[in-house]
Amino acid sequence: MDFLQDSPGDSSSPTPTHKDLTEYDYSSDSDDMARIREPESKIDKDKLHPDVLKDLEVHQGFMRQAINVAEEALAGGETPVACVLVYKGEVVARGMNDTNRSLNGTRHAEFLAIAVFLSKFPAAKLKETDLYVTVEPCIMCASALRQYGIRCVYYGCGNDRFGGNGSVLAVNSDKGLEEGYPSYGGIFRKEAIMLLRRFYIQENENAPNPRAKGNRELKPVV
Amino acid sequence: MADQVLFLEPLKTLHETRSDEEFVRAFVVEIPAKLTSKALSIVKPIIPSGGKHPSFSHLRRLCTLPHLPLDLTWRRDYDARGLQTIFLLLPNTVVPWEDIQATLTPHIDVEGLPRCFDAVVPRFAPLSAEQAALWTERYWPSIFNPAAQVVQDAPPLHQLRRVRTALEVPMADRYMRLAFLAAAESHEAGHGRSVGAVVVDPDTGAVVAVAGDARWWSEDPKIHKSLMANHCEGRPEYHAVMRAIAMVANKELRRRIKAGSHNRFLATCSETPSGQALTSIEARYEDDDKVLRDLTAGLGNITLADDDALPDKQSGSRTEGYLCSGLDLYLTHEPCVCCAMAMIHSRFRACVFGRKMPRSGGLSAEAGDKLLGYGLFWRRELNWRVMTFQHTRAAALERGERIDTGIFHA
Repeated sequence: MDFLQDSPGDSSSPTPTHKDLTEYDYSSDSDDMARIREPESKIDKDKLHPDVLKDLEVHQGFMRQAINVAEEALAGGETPVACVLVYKGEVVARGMNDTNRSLNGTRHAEFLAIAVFLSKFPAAKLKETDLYVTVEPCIMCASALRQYGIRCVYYGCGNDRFGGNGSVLAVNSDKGLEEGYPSYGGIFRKEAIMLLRRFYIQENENAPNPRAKGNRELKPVV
Repeated sequence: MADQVLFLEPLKTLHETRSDEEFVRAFVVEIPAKLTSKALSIVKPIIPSGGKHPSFSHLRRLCTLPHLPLDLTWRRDYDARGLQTIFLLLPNTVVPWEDIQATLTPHIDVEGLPRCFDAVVPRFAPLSAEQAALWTERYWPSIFNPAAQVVQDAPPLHQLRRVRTALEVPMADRYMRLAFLAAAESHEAGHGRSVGAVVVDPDTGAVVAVAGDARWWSEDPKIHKSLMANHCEGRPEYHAVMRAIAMVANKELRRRIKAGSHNRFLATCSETPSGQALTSIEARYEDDDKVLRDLTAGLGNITLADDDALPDKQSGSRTEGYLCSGLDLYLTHEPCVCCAMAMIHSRFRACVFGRKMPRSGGLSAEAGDKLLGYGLFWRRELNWRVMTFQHTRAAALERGERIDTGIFHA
């Protein structure tokens, strides 16, 4: 797998809602706030952490399973973000985004996987469990994962709009009521982005003002 | 209603709490007064603007000695020897002083000029005329322009006033009472903490959903036990806000299935499990035709006071059914980061909450030792913003429900 692509990255998001029109025109941004972090360089985004590189094949194996679940989601018309929970070296729960089907914008993959996990194991075992998710957890999920006491999170691509593991906020490592958790990105980043692109090239019929996207072309390079 | 008591306090946005705290370095350049009209056009080509470069549109570009803040006047260890001079403000970011000097020098034939000294000025525009006056005295002559207020930074004042006026009515207390009742009922039943949420359609004033916290609840006694054992934190997706959002979604899902408009997902869709009613007050605001489990028997040990005539239930469907857009949220507590972001994802119009939650609340923007300071309700980076108010007399609406006052994720 080639992790050192030199073409520009893409923003991605796990909910189907972010491209819709809003009541106000929030995009008329006259003065960009300096505090918003500069976009990471392309190299940084693809560079894997040394801790991940140590067991790269193991991590890729689990992430591959998450990617496969995301493919299933896409085939079913759902936003292709998915995750697996790994306990004692085994995938014990899967989850995929459910926002379009349930009409609930909070039904992200993480919650569905955790519900499966809790049907099998005590909640306290989440402290010995790792999450592999195709897209960086959003701020909501990052907080939920921390409240559950997840041990570690591995993700594919970052989430510039809602990311709660460092892209917008670092809910996983900021101060808080309980211990934070470590988080590593970039595992099959390209695949995760391509899944989202294949989804967003379609039209969102749930949006208040669906946009015609008939003439859009899929950009194959990440 | 001339003597109406104000009880909804608009929460300060992240920008509003930080505008006092962010500063950038600047050059104050002393030049001959005869250059007043030309100075800016001379340096403009070499000073970058836009994008991440600080905009100085809230600061006067030139000022005379009498208008120079005292602090800067002291820093000027230079005697003009009767020469008329003026002071030009330029950002001290990427362009070094030498370049500015080299650009200005050909236009000046006075020895010793241009001279420069350092200043520090507010990075963002002031939020009020008072703040501008203060900054003018302290840092540099500043301009307050209400029309330049950026919507990403704070709700536009006229909209905030309109919504506040519409919400600041006796009904607000009744919605809060309902939230307290839902909280108490959930707690009594052992489902979760004493936290409640009420979703209201502001167009009709009717209640769309009522939810209490159910973080420890599970049909499966084994899971319930494991949740109680896990730090007592339980499941965040069963917090009151998450459940209220789920109830709204479930209602809309049932409506669409009934209307035959969810065909694409008919075979694969399911209701959000946390959105099922667990207490009688929650069930009371569910759909009319929804088969109720045995919840309608009464309100358990919760007694309704005489003035607790419950608000109307939304009957029929809302016209606008995209997530929770157009709806308002009434909460006993400031929601945790998870629930606060869920509120943004769900696109509520406004939020009213009672008790602030230091160390766990995701809405307050104030920074501090024991505060997260995320200010999630109105942030530039996020794609939705919710006008948020604290109900300042919410505590007085409690009638022995023993609202949870601990430190936890509400």
